Amino acid sequence: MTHPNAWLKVATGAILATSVAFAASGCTTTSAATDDSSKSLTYWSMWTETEPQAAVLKTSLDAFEKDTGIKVDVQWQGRKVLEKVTTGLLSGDVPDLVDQAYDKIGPALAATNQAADLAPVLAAKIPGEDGHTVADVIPAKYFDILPSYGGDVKNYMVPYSVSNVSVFYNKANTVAPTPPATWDELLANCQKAVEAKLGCIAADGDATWANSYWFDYLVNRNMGDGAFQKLMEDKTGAAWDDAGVLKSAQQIQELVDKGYIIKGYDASKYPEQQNAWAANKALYFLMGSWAPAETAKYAAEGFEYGAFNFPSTSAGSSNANDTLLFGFAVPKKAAHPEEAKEFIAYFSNKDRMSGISTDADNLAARPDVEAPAQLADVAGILAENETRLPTDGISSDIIDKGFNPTFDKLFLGKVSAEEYVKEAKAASIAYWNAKG
Amino acid sequence: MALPALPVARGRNTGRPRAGMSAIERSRRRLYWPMLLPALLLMLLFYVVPILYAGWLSLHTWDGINELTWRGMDNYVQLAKDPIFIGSIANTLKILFVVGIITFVFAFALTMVLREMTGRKFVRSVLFFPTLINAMVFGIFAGFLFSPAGPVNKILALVGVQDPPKWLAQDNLFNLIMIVMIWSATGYFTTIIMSAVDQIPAYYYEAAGLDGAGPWTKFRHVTLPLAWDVISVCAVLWTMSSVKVFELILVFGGSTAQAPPTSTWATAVYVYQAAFGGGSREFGVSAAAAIVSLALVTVLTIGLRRMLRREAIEI
Repeated sequence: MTHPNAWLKVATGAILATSVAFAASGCTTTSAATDDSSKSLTYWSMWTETEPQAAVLKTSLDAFEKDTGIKVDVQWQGRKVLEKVTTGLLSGDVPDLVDQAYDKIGPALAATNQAADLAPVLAAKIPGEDGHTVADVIPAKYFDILPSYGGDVKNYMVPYSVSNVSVFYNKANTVAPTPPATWDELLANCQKAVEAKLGCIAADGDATWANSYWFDYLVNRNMGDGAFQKLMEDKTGAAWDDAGVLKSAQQIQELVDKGYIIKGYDASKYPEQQNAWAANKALYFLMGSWAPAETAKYAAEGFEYGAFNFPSTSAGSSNANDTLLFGFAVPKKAAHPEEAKEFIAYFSNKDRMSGISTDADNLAARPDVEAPAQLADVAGILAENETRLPTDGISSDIIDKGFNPTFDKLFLGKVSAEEYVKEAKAASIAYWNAKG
Repeated sequence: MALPALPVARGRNTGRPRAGMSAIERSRRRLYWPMLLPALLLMLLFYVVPILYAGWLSLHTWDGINELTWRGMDNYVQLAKDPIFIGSIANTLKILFVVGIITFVFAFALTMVLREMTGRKFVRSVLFFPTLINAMVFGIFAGFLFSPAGPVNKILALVGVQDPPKWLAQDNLFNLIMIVMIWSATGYFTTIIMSAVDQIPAYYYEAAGLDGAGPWTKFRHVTLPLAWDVISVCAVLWTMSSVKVFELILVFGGSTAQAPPTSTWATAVYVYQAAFGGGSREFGVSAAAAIVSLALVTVLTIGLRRMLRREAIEI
């Protein structure tokens, strides 16, 4: 009876060997990639290779490689790039340079203290621009509004592209060609639109993120800068008792009650009504500055993109404009942080950054880069007004769970302003109660 | 997985040869562990260890990168107090029971109709087709079909409906999600149940027919008992898949990479949102929510197995 025993030994040996191989292969992935001593730069991009922004960056990356001899390894990861960086941080496999919007970089890298301090980049001279530093050409206000997300580093990001949220309209429209400066003027124009059998405001019921811009802006105009953040972060819910909150809710209710929001908005899926707006079915559309690029295909003949800043609700109200920043960050654990910083300064050069405007039809972070024609108004709004972040830059968790569910009811006309304030206050208290 | 013909595989397997056994039986027993071990190791490595780790994680606060901070049961307390999580569980249960029951009723009805139909193989393939389509397609297609100026409303207008329902309104969103699930799951389960029904010899039905049984009685006394094993496996499969429903909700409700409305969240969406959704990156809460879902599916599956346990009837 030696047969089975021999077999057993072989089998056990084979299994042991496999499990050792497994364990070994598990280890190798984490300890690789530390052998390159020559100068190089690994960049994980938020763009995919076919997007125009990728082409603009690629041109500069190629030139950078040629000018400095630093070998560039670029990976077009797409919008989920920071989720990959987060996973990479655990295994030690991180890029030297990464880009995304401030509200993605902030929570992923700044809040976790994984972002390198980019203050030295601000002081760095831009190659090809005699003596100008990055801080000279990119407005300080963009750095000032960046929330710290509870992290230690203030300058964790250098923006190269800017979007902002304003009210878009067709300048060639005949119903109300003059843009309103005040809320009352906006309502008067809405009345004209309704009389002309047009929608006044385009909105998609399911795009709460866009619809909430209305309330966010109204709270800002009625109650001042930082009021929205205070409202959301008040654990007692007392901030909801402020008269300005009810007023803002009543202003939304008026839009709903008077039929100023385009018909069918409460049962449409984004970007259905956005396209309807471009086809001249509604007068106004409150949206980010990507709206012209997104609607170009659907725009009616002779459509002229214009925009105005969100109207004021009283003489002294804030004029702050919602601004969203997209830019570079360097993970603290990057193997080649200096090369990454060098590239940020390199790309801040006017000629190189201008591709963001000329090729990608976005606003560049440098105000001296001319805006694309359809964003001329938007660039003006950005330059002339104070800058703020949408929802005052608070965590989107509060918005998703604590704010949106009740706000939807108000915007979709299911509750009155008074009921809304009561429900929203309760929801906010419940959110913070759960957070403990 | 079933080893019906091997009596050795039944009962207690200690792997230790005992006196009085035949040589072949002893060698079989010796091979028990070597044969089992590879699968067991893989299962430990890829299922049990991650589950234990998630359990460990759920007792901590973690941002996904830095060190874990002990939080004890507070993540679970937070979940218990979070109306959104309670709502997610309610939605998961709705999917499990409402969608499940309707799907099985449809599947049985189709089975009864299809059993005697000519060309049933073709019809079965057609029914199975929705299962092959990615949920994303439904999400995008429904947005087009049911939009206020979309084809469905245009057809309704042609037949005189001037005020069509608000298909994509937020109140209807979850119902629409459930309808799509029923549509895509029915074909899948019909196919499986049909294959069991095909094994039932025709003379049982003939005999029942001679005894005066109608379609319902045939189903009740022939189909159901003889396909019972497969049906109970289908019920367990459905339970497990319903707790994992994720991408359909994400695509239906979420426009442009934003979170879908919380009224449509199921537990899997909650788990994802807690870790990656908002700016909060609460991996501890996310793990706790995952553990709660796991507990939910375990309890339900065990309960279901007990409820559906019957003596197998041999054909």
